[in-house]
Amino acid sequence: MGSSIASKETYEKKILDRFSDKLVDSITNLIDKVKPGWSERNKSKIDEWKLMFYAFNRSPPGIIGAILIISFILIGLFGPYVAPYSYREFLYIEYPDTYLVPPGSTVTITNKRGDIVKVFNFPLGTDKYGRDLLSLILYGARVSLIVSLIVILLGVPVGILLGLVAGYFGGKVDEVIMRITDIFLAFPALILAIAFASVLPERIRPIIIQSGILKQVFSVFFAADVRDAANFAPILSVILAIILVWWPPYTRIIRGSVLSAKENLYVEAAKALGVSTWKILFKHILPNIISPVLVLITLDIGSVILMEASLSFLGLGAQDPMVDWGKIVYDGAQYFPDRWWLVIFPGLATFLAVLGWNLIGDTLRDVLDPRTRRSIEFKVKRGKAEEK
Amino acid sequence: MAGLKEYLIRRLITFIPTIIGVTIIVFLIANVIPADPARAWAGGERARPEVIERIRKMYHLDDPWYIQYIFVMKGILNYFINPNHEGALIDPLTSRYVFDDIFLRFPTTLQLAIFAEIFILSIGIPLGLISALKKDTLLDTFVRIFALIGVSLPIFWIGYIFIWIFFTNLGWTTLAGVPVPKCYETGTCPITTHVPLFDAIFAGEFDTLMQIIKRFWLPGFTLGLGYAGVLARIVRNSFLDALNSDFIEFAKAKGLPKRWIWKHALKNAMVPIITVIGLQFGGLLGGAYITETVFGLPGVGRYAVQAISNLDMPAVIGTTLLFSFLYVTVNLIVDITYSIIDPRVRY
Repeated sequence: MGSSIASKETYEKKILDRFSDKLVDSITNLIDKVKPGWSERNKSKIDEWKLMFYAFNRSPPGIIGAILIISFILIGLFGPYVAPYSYREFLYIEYPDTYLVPPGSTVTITNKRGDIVKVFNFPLGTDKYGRDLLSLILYGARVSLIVSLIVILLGVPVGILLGLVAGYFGGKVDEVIMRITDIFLAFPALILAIAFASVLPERIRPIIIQSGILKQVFSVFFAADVRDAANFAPILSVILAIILVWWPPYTRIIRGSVLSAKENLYVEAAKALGVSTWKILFKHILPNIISPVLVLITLDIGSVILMEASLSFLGLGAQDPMVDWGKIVYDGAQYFPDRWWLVIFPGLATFLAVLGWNLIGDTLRDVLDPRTRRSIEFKVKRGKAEEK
Repeated sequence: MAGLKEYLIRRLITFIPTIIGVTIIVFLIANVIPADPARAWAGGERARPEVIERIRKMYHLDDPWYIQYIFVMKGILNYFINPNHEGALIDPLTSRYVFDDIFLRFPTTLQLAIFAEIFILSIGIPLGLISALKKDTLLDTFVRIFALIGVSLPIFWIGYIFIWIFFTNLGWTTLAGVPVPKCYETGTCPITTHVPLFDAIFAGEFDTLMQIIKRFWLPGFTLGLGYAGVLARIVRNSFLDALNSDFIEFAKAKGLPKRWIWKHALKNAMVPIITVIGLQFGGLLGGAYITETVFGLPGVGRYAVQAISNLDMPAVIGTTLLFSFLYVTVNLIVDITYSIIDPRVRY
């Protein structure tokens, strides 16, 4: 009880703390350019941010998580462009020698006269078409990243909005929204997602194929060839299916927090001043109840990645020749354990990405807790006092 | 206990519209497909038109959706109301009653859930208690990391790794078939529950029991690993919350022996723990599609996935309904249990 404050432990800023200070400063400078004087008015908020980073930097799991997700995001963004081969490269070229070769192999293709035509290096082995597994995993990262981003960017705001409306307005609106939420929560999430993901492609495919813009946009998103446009539909269905099962918990949590937050004096005051309802909801209530949701979001990105991979493993996500991590395992499982690399490497990639988000989420829970932050603040202040 | 009765009635009343809503959503999903299911059920492109026509009539596929809905719901109710299943919903692909197909596979899913639950409880609760007692030590951190790794492990990955270790190398498990007690053939079972695990125990067939354990322990362990980590965290946090509450301070001030303080804290930590255990079990019954697929268990989850890929909509409706019914029922039981443990939640 309070031992951390009483102890003689002093505290120096480490490299990471200096780095995070610089990060926060540059962000505030950026905001200052748009809104002059912003940092002066929000000094306490900026200090709070710096403290959050200090708390984060003290947590080894958090740092490991940060490393994992930064690599996940970088691989997702740039992986397809640095991949040694395209995911379509070996599909239509017949080199039986490259089929299912183990990790670390070098395959030399010779023509009839014995001249060396081509030399391929496969650091992680190849799949049944002879495609380089490393490249496939790099392409798969892009699909995972895009799916989790779209689900979080579209699904979570819908859930939050419904929760705000239900909690704030109450009465019939609340009753209707919450009954629908209850119905969605009555399903185990995966079966509902499986059902949606299996019926939606038939509806989505014609829309994609007829629209040139959508084809272009999604081929950039998935780093896929436009010729595979028909195969975007199953992945988009998976996205839609996950969104459809993802919003209800958010609605329920936000509604509960709004119910208690709207009794606060600051809401009364805002009302008395004639602030509009939407402004009260988004500027006054939401910032006060958002931090548990932030933790949930980080943990949920991991779950979205896992669910997307699971749906693909059941054969619902990416279709040949497109790939994602679940799909590689789905194809490779029939060769297990002889051709173990087809299961082990994509599975490991999935595991590390999900673990990264979970580590971050778990650390954020500590960091967003004002009590943890306070104890670090004391340490920093004493450290500064001793410097002087 | 007048309060409890009122609470139960109120809870049951909200149960019914939820289930009706679930049936409507399932039905709407099943009808989103523009493909012609009648053709697929009759055998694809080369199906004879009169057969397709007959199927279409039989399942009211040309009628508006609410007539189809009433037809399907009647078919489901008939199975459970009529003793000889007259007028019950029939699977167009297997020509058997949909719920016969489902209940044939349900024991496998139930046994998997039971084995998983055994691992969840025997790993999760001790780990949670230990890490609460050794709070902020290396052990506590270890449990935290274990929980985080547990929820992050994709079953389609760790399942294959376990198969490689325990089946390919050690041979501690089997991967084919589902063992049933011998008394099924001879008809000498003292009690027939149709769940091989229970029937083998009741009939005293320990060799069959061992076979069942050998077949199910690894899938159960794989499935339970993630849940166990979550449970350990919940046990730790709710136990710590209880230990830090005012009544424990009071008990300490009063000079109660440590054993008694523990008992009070445990009892108060029970409510969130029971909730989580109940919800987890509901989730386990709600289909372990991946685990069943990886370990080749012919359970309801795998049946549902196959039904979906075959456009077998009556089977999809049947399994989805069963899953959500079980899920909602388990939730209801959890609610009732803790309204008995903790009278405060009734109001």
